[in-house]
Amino acid sequence: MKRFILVLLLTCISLLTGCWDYIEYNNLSQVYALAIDYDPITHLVSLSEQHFEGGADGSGSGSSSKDSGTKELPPKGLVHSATDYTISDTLDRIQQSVSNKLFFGYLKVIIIGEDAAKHITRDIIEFLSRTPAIKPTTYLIITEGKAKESIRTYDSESLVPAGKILALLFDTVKYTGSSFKVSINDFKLLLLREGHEPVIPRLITTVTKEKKEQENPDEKIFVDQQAGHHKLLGMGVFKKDKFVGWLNPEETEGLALIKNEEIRNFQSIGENNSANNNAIFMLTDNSSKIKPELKNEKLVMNVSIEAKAVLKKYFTEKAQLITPEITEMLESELSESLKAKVLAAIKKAQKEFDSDIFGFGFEFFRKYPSIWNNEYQQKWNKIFQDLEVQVDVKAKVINTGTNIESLDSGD
Amino acid sequence: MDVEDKMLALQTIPTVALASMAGPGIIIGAYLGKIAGRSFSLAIPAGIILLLPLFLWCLSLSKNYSGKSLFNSFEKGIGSIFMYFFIFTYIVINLILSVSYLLIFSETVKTFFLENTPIWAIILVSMIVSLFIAADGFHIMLRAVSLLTYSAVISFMVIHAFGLPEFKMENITPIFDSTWIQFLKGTLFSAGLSCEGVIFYIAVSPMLPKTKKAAVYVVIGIVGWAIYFFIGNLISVGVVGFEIYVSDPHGALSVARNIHPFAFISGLEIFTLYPFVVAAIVKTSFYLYSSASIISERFGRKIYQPVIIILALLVFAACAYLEDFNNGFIISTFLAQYVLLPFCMITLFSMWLSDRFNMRSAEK
Repeated sequence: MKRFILVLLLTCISLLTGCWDYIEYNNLSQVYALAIDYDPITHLVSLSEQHFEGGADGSGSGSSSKDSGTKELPPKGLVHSATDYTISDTLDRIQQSVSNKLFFGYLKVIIIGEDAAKHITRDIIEFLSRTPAIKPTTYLIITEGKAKESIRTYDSESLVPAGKILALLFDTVKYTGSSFKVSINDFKLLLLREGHEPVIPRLITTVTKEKKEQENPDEKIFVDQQAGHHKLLGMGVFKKDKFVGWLNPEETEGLALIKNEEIRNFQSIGENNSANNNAIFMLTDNSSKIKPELKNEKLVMNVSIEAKAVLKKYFTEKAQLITPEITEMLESELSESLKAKVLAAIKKAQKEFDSDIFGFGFEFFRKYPSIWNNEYQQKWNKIFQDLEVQVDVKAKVINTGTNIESLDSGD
Repeated sequence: MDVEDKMLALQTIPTVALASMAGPGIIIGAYLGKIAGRSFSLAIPAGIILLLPLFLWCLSLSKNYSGKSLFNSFEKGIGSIFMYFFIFTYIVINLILSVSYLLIFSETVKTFFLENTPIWAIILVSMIVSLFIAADGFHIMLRAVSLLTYSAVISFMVIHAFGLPEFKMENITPIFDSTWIQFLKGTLFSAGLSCEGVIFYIAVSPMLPKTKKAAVYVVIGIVGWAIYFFIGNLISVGVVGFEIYVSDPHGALSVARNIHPFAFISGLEIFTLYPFVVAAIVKTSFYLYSSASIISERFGRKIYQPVIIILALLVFAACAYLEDFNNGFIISTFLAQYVLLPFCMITLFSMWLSDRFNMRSAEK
C-alpha cells in the first residue's frame, strides 16, 4: 500500500501542479451593471455592460496596475454595448472587444428597458438564473425608454459610475419610501408563484449635459458616457412576465406598506406640497397583516397596517402643550394620510393594471388552499378586479421629539 | 485488516448513522418537492424515521455474525448461489452510488467554484482522498468520517444561522397543501434516499457492539439526522421560497447564494463547498469500503487493498466516461425511487429467512 501511495502522490505532483481556475485579478473585468434593451420591430436585443478593469474599482483613484501601472483608466468605468438576437450572443460580441475576461461576481444591478420589460422579461430572468456567476441577490431596475442611456450616465458631481451609484441608492431607499429593493430571486419567485405579481423599482435618469448621439450607436461597441443623475422613484408593475405600467411614489409607498417593506421616511399632514403643512412625522416602524375572509361566499381582504412615528414638526396658531388629545388627533390624521396612499395603490392595481401586486391571491391560498386550488386559482384575475379590500391603518406617535410644546405659526 | 476485530466505539455510532444517510439529499432533496408538493418538508423526516426498523433489523441480524458480514447468513441458509447473487447486486449498487455521488458533487463544485477545472481532476482528487480514508480499514475510516461529518454539519449550520434573518413564514406555509398520495410518495422517496444508510449498515453492523446502548445510539443518529434535515429544509425553503427551492437541483447551494448577511458578503456559497466535497469523499469511501470488505471476506483479507484500488479505478473510469451532473442526478433519483428501499427490504428479509433456516437446522 505504501508503494501505491508513493506512486499516487508522485502522479498527483506531476499531474495536478497548478490550478486551472487561476487567474490574475488584473486580468478580470469586473462587471458592475448590465442594461438590457429590446427593439420590438427588429426583435434585436441590445446589451450594455459597465465594468472596471481589475485593480480599478471606480472609487476615484483612476489608475490601474495593468500595463505596468502606467495606463490611466476612467474612474467612471467603461461601458460597452452590443446588439444581437439573444442576450448570450450580445455578451459574446462584447467580450470580443474587451481584452480581459468579463467577470460577473461583482454585478450589482441589472437595468431593464421598458420595451425589454414588455417583451422579453422571461428570457432575461431565465438567462440570469441559469448563469451561476450572476448572484440571485443582484438588484433589478426598470427604466422608461432605453436602459443603455441610464448605464452610460455617471454622477456629474463625483464621477461615480452608474452601476455603483445605483447599488448605493438601494441602501437608502427605505429613507425615501418611494421605492424598494427587488432582486432576481424575488422577481423569479413571484413569476413562479400564483396569486402574486411582481414589481421592479423604477429608475429615472436625468442627463446634465446633452451629448449628440453617435451616428450609428448599435454598431459601436465602446460607448461614450454622459454626466447626469439617477433617482429611484416609483415601481414598474408586471402582470406575469409583462410590464404593464408605473406606480408613482405615493402609490409605491402604499404598496410598500401592504407588503411590509421597511419605510423610514417623513410623512406630512395638512396642506401637502407646501411649507404650511402643520405636522411632519418620521416613520420608525411599520408592519402589515393581510387576512382573507369568506363572508357568505364573498371574499373580503382585510389589510391591517400598524405604523409608529416620531413627531418632527408641529405648528398651531398659539403655542400649546402637546396633550394626549392632540397626539390622538395627530395619529388619526397620520393614519388617514397613510390609508389614502394604500387605497390609491390598490385602486390603480385593480382598475388600471389588473395585477395583484399585493399578493392577496397568495394570502387567500395560504388560508384556504383547497378552495384556491379548486375554484379561485383559475378565475383570480376576474375576482381581483372587484375584490373588496378593507384597509385599517393604525398610526402611533411614540415620541414628540425634543419639544413637548408646539410652536406658534407666527401669523 | 486486524483492526476489524475491534468493535466500534459507541460515541461514533450516531455520526456514522448520520453520515451514511446524508448524501445527495442535500442536493436532490429539492426533487422531493416535485413529488410531495408543499408537504415535502414533513416527508423528509417521515421517510428517515420510516427506516428505523430496517436499521434495528440489521443490528438484530448481526448478533449471530460478530465481525463477519451479514451475507454469511446465506451460506448455511438458503444457499451460496443466493449469497453470490446478493453480494454481486450489493457491490454493483454500491459502485453505482459512488459514481452518482462523485458526478453530482464534482459537477456542482465545477459549476459554481472551479469553472475551468476539468471534471476528471475534481473526481480524481476526491477519489484519492476517499481511497486513503477507506484503504486502512474500518476504524481509521470511521474516525476520519466522524471528524469530517462534524465539520461539514457545522459548515451547514453557519448557512442556516445566517439564513434565519431572511426567513419568511409565507414561503413555507401552507405546509399541508398536498394530497395523501403525494405525501406518501414523498415519504417513500425520502426513505429511498436515506436507505443508503441501511446499505452501509448491512456491511458494518457486525462491527457494532451488540448491546442495547448501541441500538439507542443508532436511533439517536437517525432521529438526530431527521430533525436536523427537517429544520435545515424548513429554513432553506423559508429563505428562498418553495417555488424556487423545488426548481433548483442544487438545494443548499442555491439557498446559500441567496443569503448576504453583510453588504460586503454577497452569498455564503463558500460554506457549501466544504460539505459537498466532504459528502463526496465520505460516501465514496463508505461504498468502496463496503464493496471491498465483502469481496475480501470471501476471497481472503489480504486482497482488501488491491480490491479497493481496482474498485476505485472502476468508479473513476465510469465517472470520467459519464462526466455529467444530469447523469448523476438521474441515476441517484432512480436508485432512490425504485431500487434502494426494495433491495434493502428483500435482502434483509432473505437474511432473516436464512437465519431461521440455520436455527432450525441447528435445532435438528
